[in-house]
Amino acid sequence: MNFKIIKSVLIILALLVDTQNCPAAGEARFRAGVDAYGAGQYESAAQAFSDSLAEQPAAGTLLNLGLAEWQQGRTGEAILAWEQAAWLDPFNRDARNNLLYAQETASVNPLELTWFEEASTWLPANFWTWLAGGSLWLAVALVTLPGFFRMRKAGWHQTVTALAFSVFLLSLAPTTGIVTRFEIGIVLAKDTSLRLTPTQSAEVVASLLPGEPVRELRWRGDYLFVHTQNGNGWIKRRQIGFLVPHVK
Amino acid sequence: MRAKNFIWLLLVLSAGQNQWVFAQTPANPTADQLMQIARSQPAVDISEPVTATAAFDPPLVRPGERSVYRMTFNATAVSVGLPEKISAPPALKIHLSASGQNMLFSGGAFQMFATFDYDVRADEPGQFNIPEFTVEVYGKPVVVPGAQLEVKMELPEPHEPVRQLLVEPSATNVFIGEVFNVSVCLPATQSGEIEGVSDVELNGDSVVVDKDAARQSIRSIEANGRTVPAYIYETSITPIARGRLDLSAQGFTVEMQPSGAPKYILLDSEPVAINVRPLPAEGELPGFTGAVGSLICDPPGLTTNVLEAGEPVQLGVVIRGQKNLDRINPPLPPRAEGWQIFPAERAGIVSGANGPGASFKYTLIPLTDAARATPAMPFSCFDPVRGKYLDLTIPPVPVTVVANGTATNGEMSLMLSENTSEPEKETGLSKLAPAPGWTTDSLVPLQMHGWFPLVQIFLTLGFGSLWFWGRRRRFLERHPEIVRRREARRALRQELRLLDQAAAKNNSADFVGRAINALQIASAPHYPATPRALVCGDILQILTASERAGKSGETVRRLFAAADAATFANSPEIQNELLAEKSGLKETLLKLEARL
Repeated sequence: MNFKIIKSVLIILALLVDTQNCPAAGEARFRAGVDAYGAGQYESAAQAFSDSLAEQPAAGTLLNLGLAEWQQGRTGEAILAWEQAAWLDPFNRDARNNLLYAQETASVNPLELTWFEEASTWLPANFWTWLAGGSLWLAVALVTLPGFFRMRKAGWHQTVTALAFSVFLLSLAPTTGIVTRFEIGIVLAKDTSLRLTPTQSAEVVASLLPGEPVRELRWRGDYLFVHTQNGNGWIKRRQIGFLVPHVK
Repeated sequence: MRAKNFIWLLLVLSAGQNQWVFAQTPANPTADQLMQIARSQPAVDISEPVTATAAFDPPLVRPGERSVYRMTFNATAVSVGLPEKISAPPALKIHLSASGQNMLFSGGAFQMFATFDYDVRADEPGQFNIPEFTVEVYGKPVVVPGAQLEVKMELPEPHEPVRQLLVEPSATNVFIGEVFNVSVCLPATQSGEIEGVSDVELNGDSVVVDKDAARQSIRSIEANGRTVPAYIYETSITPIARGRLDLSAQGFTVEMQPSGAPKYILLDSEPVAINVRPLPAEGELPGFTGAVGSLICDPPGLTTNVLEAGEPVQLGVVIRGQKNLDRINPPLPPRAEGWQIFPAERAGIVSGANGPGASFKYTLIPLTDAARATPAMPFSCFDPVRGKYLDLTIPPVPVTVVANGTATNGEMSLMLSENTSEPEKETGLSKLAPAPGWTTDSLVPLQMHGWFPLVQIFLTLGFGSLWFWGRRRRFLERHPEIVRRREARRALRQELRLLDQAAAKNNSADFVGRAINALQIASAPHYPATPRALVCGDILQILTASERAGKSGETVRRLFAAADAATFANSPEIQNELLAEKSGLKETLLKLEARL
């Protein structure tokens, strides 16, 4: 009996160790992708980078995935990958330059962002959340805890509290921008039609190029009602890729 | 008839010639001049009763041979409400192939004529009638007369097939954006007559026709296995969408009627399929702005090679090629340290020994005297002949920049920072990232995870609890009697349990001790005092007057008396009969507890 318990514990430990090795596996796939890209095998490179991303999303991997997709003429996938790289690491200059280049070359419109979404692009997405959450709870703690621990409220308590509340208020808008950017997608499929109603035979309002950004407004079945710079309409869910993959 | 046709041909040719005599575009007229021109034009007469004609051209064909069912109205084309489908015998294959309109000057006013051509074929011999039918023109019914087509295996010679235009593209497999020539030919009739064609239009989805490049001529061509003279209209077109392009042509020729009035006849052509390929994504070079063609770039020229910092200088760039020059987008100005470069301005089409070229002028400003050459400007085009991208990067031009005393160092620094603060827009794709770089567990932002609101709720509850706890603590500090009473109740409940245990063991001494302890604990918060400091009188003070005089008072006195006797008298034994006071004692204690 005891032996069985020890055996089970060892198996669980082995699985945990194996899970911890996953980043290393992702790194190996990344290297394989770089090698395949260097050899001109762009499809294999894209697959390797995708596998690496499944292990561990990384800005450099997304940048390389975009390059591999671009070399295969998959404009939509390339732009999506670079948008995701910029989402993850807004300081990634290569991703932003590639995006500008691809959008100009493919004659697609860049993302139309609101001011708070624009602000949210200044720092990585999760950074804003940490900043808003951390500053709020720091302020709350500074208000609550001195009294609880019978500490005398010092001047610096109030200064830091005011500062933390200011940071919290300032980071609210970008945090909201992060949430609204959640609904942004990129057209992947070629010959994507924007339709008047969510049916296959519906009237075509406009044609969207791969790489064109759309903003999901609502959904019905397999169709999404989206806002584009060519107007609003319905497109098939599988024809777009979201900046942040999510399932409805 | 032949001489009249020749005159018409000359008219058409001369009209076409006029289009390219004016190589330089005249100055745009002002609005007033346009109004004067509009007012000076003869009116368009639409007051005449609308009449319609319909006929097959030719009315006698072999099976499978093309005939044209042609309807004409003396009205504008848009005013004619044609039915979607013309009622025709089922054996007759019929579809609309061309439509157009033209004007005829008559009686001091223009008259509009609309023509609709239907392609008609029959596979079997027979006589086919399209009966008369009614259409609406200008909102009024107009009767289109019936027409008859006869299809026979044997036709009397000479048989002249339907006159139609021939479309001959210079290429049928082209790249998107590639300019190619198209010739529209009308071969001479069997009698050798050459007819001119006016209002030539090329029909096809997603093409741009360069009408400025149109020219007309008469040449010999191969048609139906023989060389015949033909009227030829040539122009250039540019496909702007990939995929199959069905290109056809239409135009009007004229036939002089016995009355001397011209009669316009709309001719069209069979469509020609052209495969339009997309530009390859592979091998695209930096600086590609969509230019397609066999282009070369002249060495750039500066207005001066010696300039002062902050002084603008113009860089002239000429891109030469044979076609599509006015559609070339100039290279985007690169962002270069030490230079401010403005987007190019078009300077028209220039000629030269290497052919015509599109000229562009860039304005550059050296921001420091450290500049030694103008920055290179990446530019490339796609050569459809070679099927690959060509690098036409505009090379640097050496310059000597001398320091300028008018601009201070601060101003220069500001200009430099403005020039370099924005993210540099590079003209090509980046290289591969050497390492995965910035990693995360998921692209999904933290606030969209399910655990995020739970953590916030937990923290809210935690801090809320701390706040309530502190508030309660301060309240109790201000009201210590509440604490004493609460502690007294707790201690009283404990003593009552011990009292019960003593009674159950018939231990009268312990019973009395517990009873007195309980009475003291229950009474202490009222003074407040330490419970052991209270004596019988103090306990009785807590009771009401009636209780003091009644059984409760008696029980208290007896218990204290027994305890005092046990402590101070020589007879420490306590009588067991005191155990019988248990119920009365508990009743008293409950009353005291209720007052806490």
